[in-house]
Amino acid sequence: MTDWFDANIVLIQSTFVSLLLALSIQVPLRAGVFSFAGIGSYGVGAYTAAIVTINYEWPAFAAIAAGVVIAAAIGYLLALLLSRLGGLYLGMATIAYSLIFSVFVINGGELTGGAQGLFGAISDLTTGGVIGVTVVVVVLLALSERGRIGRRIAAVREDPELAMSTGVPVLAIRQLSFVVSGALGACAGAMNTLLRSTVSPDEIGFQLVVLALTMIIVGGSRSWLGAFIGAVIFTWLPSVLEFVGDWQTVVYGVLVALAAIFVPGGLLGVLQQGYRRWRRRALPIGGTA
Amino acid sequence: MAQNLINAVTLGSLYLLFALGMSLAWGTIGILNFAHGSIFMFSSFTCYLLVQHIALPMPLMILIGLVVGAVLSVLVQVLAFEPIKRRNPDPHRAELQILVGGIGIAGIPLAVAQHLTKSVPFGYSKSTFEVEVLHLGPVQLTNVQLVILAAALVLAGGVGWWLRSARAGLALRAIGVDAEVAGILGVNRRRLALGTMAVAGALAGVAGVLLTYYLGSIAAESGDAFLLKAFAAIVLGGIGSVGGAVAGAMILALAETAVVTQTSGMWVDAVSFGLIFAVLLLRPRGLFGRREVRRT
Amino acid sequence: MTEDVLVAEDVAVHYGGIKAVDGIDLTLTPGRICGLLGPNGSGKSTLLAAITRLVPLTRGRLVLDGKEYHRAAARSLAKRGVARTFQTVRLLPDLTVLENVQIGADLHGRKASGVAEAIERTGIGEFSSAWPGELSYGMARRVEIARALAMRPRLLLLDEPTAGMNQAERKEISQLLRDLREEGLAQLLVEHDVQMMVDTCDDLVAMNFGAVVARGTPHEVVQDAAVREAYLGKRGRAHA
Repeated sequence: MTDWFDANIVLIQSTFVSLLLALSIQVPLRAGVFSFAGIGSYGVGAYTAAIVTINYEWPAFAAIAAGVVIAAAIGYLLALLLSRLGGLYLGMATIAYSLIFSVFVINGGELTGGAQGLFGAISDLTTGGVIGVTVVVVVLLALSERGRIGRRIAAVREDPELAMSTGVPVLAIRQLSFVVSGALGACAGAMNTLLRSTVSPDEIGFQLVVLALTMIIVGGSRSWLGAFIGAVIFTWLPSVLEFVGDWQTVVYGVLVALAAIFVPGGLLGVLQQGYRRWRRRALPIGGTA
Repeated sequence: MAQNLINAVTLGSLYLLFALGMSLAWGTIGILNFAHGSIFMFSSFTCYLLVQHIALPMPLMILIGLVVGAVLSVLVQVLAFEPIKRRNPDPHRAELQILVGGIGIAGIPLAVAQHLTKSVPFGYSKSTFEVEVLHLGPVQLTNVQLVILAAALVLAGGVGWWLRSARAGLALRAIGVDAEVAGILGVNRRRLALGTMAVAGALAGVAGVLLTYYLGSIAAESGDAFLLKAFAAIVLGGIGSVGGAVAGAMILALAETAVVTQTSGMWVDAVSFGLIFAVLLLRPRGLFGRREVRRT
Repeated sequence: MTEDVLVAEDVAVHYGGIKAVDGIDLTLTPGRICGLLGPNGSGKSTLLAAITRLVPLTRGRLVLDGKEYHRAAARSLAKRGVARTFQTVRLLPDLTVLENVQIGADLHGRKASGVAEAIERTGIGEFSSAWPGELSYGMARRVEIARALAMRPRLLLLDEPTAGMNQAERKEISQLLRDLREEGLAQLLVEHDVQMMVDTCDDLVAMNFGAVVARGTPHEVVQDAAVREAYLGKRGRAHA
């Protein structure tokens, strides 16, 4: 078992980092907020961690925390600026923010290492630390999907007017989703940088947007579990597809397209529908109150 | 200075051809086609493949690009977007699925082209066409630029006229305002949707071929780069408006040219992204867009 | 005499050139059911939206428990005891009936009670585990009422709560509202079924074109000539 673990350590680490990245989009989506600013936050976290580690030799958790705090603050700022936007427009504005950031780091001179990026961000971050943080995050998010909080967030997503009329703080929840999204994205980016000890503009450009979106669409956007499914699939799929050889990327694109067309709720949606149908057959309509 | 202006307008014309179709589709039938960039690139790529075997003249190349673009666009609509719309009655959900579906589909032509070109840029050196330069006083104008300007003028003007005057054009605008009512009034939504996507694809195909002639070569990844700039142009000009697409494309091209000539080339991309962000922040409907930008 | 819960003074809502609501006065008192009658397009739902702060006022005052609130946020009304149902069924599709009702109780925190009672009073107990998509229209409307009741309001605003119900169900709801009235709830009822309005309401306000055309006891209003002409003439009989 540990042999397999060691042999695939990079992929395992990537899975958890990707999970956090996917969550940074899934969380606002769950509140009905089409914000992809989590991707930009990934860049913010990645570069912040690199900079403080290289220049000031901060320990891992401090470096990550720095990125998280900055990105969360930016998230709040975005929430205030973009509050009037909805749907696709908000998505585009937040994608633009993510891409603007990558242009900035290319032109950041010595601080950000320009087009080459930064390297030598050596830190004491362990795989165990990464897994630990991710597990804590997932537990907290899973709890927020149930009970009173879960219901209220669902109301914000499905019917904001109704939510308001039942006293749900719609605006506050939306703003919070921006902040959480920033924190999660930054956490992912920072951890990835510290594990690889490098960061470069290529990593945080449009390709990252595509990756994050496809994880959510294929996995499912309703719950952290969907993000997990997406992260696992897209971290491990390339190695699975290796046997396909040169046409890997084509197969990849076809799979994503097929998922978007035929599986609207993502794989999670498929599982949930199946579960519901099973429940309906197992229990009569009455059930217990 | 005047030379820069000419070059900027040429660039703007290319942006316009590319963005016009996308803006049209988005503003009328509500399809934001992320595969548009791939279609643009692949139309050009198809011409490249053909011209490796037969030396073709430019007009024919443009025509082929037009047809390939139209066909690809219609295929995407029929095979992907229509099924998505059928399975997702909620418009918000459908929008997101179409967006991501487009992203997924975009990867396919990209991967094919990357594979076949081994990521080396491709061009039309084997075409019969030869670049000629005209001198008009202080400025130089190549025949390619002339063709581009003419194409943009004719095609954009044609589309604009058609939307205002032709019955089908008015029907399309009706769909853009209220699809259901338009359907009740007898507008054949499906046919118009397919037609719109065909035109959008055709325009993109023409733009792709012309850009390849203009730059000498393009890469498989050029489609995505153009995609983002098209966004900026559309968002700035306002969705669904021909005049808006013209304005947005030209302003973007002028701004980018100014940035490139005044500063180091590295900030160019920030122009388009910055424009997108700024416009959405300050005036979401753009210069000529309709009032209702959807709020939550 | 009990104090008025809600007073609307000269309320107007204009959209550009359209005067959806134009100068309405309304008073809602604990232990009384006020009915709002009027044809489609008369402005009833807009008035309701204005009162619940979902659309802004062009003119007028809104007072709740003596405090003006026409600038308050919509969501502040719930905590102050105002609950409503909507003209269209608005249940969250991914939550069960029980969870949908719990949304109402969620207003009061995690350990809120009142859900079981709300479910029982609206008679939806056997559907607690069902999904909204499986319910009949009338049953879905009851869930909405249950959700509103779970908020433990002092003022209940109902927008066509019995649409899609048969006569028997309608009588049940009418009885429920009257029971709530005896418990001191203030209510505003918007309905189409004139008989139900006459049976249930203490006061009736008839609207047309955004303005009040008649007000008084149900019997008075139903016999008013202007009301008959505008509305009842098409609906047929009403009892004296």
